[in-house]
Amino acid sequence: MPKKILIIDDDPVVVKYLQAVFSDNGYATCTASSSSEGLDVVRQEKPDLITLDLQMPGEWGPRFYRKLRKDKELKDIPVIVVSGIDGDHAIKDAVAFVRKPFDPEKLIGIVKNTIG
Amino acid sequence: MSHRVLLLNIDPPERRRLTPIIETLGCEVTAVGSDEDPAALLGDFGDGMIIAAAGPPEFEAAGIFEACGPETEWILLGSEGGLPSTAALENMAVSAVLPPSPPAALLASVLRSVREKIELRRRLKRGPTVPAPAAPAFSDAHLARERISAVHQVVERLSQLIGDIARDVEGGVKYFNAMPYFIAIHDSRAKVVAANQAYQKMLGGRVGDDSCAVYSGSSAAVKDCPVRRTLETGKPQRSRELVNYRSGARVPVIVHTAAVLDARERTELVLEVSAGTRELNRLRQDIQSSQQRYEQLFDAVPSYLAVLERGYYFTAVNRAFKEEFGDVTGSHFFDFFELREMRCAKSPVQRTFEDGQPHQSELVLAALNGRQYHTLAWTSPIATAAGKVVQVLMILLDVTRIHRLQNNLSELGLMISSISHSIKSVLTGLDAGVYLMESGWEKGDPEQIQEGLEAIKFMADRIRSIVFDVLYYAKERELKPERIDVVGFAHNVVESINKRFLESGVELVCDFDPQLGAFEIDRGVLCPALVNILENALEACLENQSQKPPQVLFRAVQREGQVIFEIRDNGAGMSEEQLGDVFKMFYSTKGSQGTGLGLYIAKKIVSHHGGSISVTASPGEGACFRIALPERSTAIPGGGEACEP
Repeated sequence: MPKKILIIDDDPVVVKYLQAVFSDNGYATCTASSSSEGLDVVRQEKPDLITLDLQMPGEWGPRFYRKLRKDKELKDIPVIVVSGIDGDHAIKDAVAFVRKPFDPEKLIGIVKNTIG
Repeated sequence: MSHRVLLLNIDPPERRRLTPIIETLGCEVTAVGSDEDPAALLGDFGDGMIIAAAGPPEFEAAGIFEACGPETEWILLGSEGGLPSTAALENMAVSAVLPPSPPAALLASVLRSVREKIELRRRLKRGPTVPAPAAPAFSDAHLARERISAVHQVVERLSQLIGDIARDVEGGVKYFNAMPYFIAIHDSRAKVVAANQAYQKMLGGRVGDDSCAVYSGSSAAVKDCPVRRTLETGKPQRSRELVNYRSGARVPVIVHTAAVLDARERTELVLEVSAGTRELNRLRQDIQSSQQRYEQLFDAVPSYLAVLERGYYFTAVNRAFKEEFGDVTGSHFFDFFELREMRCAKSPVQRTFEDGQPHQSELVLAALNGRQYHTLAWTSPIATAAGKVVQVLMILLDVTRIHRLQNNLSELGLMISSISHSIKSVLTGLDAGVYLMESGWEKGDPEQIQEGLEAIKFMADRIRSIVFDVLYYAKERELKPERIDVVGFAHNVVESINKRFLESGVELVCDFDPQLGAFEIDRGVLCPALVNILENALEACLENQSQKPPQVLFRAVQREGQVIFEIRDNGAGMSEEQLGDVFKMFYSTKGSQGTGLGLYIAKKIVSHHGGSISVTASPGEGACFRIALPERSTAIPGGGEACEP
């Protein structure tokens, strides 16, 4: 059973990009285009890792992260921030902070180190 | 004449103690107990002294305090509680309040000073000429000496008084102090009996000299001098004369003389007051020229200067102020200005009136001329010599331009950061497109290749729109208005965006009145502005996943010389908070997909055309943008906005 990654980003192009990168490397993916949708998908799909954009319409990434960390069942899911804005302080215990535009190989390296 | 002392309401033992003390001072002592009726005794008590112990209230009720005249000197014994009422005190001359049983030395000292006071009053009352039968000891010579000493005092007092008055006159202190006022008193034989210091020092006049001695020319003759004329006519005189200064200079003066009459209406003394006309003229010129200098300075200052009175009335304004706001002297500040913004709760003018200190503040003023001024205002108090703030000088420095420049600079900074952010997201998109295509090739997945291609195309569009925004922002281009058909223009707009509507499945309903005619616009900039608003409407529809079929209504109508475009969507709508921000730079509801420039630039373009743009919306109900443009071009060069929208 392949490990599952949840991609949260409001840009559909970026979502498609990440989906292709992860599935090409043998991961399963699910997606959400906003923070609130993201929470629903996390509960439904129980992903092994989440990539999170910071700047999104409606609630931004950090708020999603806070809600995620309050949920006992979900709080241990590792999160990688993938964002165009400088906000590495916004989510302190994220696994990694990847700036857009990003190198897909580096991102895969981080993912592999995190969930194998 | 002896002095009478009445002991009122004082216990017999205390009476016995006090009586010898008083008698050694040469006063007659009478005593009245509380059981006796004092009113009868006091009826003609006159100018004596009454030593009264603070007593029972019925004492006061008997009207004892009022019964005596103002010449009766009261010495009260007692503590505060037992003193007469305030009403009674108003009618009494209380010389001293002593402890209930005063020590002998204290009482004697007080009595001595009160006695002196009474004596002085008696002497004044008697007057200088009325022979004093009660005191034949005063010889004529003695009286004359006393009179001269009194006159001497009067003269000194008078010149001191004039000096005091001069000191009160604002700004003129140094002139008035330097003014040689000559004051002299002459007797009926035209001899100087008293003169002030200036008279003695500058003119060399001395007591006993002939009155005419200080004069030069014809007035130097005994019979022609002003003092003599007053002595002869008994009338006040005013004349121009020449006097000899001790330094040898002959100086013109204006001389005023007035007679001092005795009891029989005969001229007894002559008061002479004179001032050098040269000094007066020089003084006048000095004042005039310094006044002119101040006025010139006031006018030459390149800032707006205004002098305000309490109650915000303009007392004076300088030339720059007049040129900008008109001559507002005499009018009320708030008839011409409206305070739009203030850092503090009180205006600096108000604060200066309150504490007499200079203040500084940033004010945004809306003037009657319709402009809004960002100003730095300094205020400083204009006070009298006594320190009372009567007016406030306000200096306004117009920093509107600097402010605008500042705004532009900060906008530029924001712009650059926003652009670099947009470029990052476009780069990511291009990376995405390339990756999708490459990986699609490897996997032989034509769908993914197609997706990659679409992503690249989409990014190319994004780059185009960013470039447009940046160019529009960067270049303060002049509008090139041309007269074009409104309906034709509206169709052009629709053509530019129709494809996106078709692709997204949002319906675009057009409703253009065929009678619209033509208007003057720069189509090259106005078209993208309207396209931008339509794009927003489209996206708002896509965001709203309600059951209603998504639809954007694009209307064009004509009303009162204006062409009005209405773009109404049934999309997600906006909250009140969002409505307030919608035209602000870099405000975007689209996250990383919007530059936040679109509507900001659209608004700028519309206002360049002399038009206006407004929006109404509520959450879930869609939004309606209303763009009103004048039919005739009233293009404003360079945007023409005096302030932030």
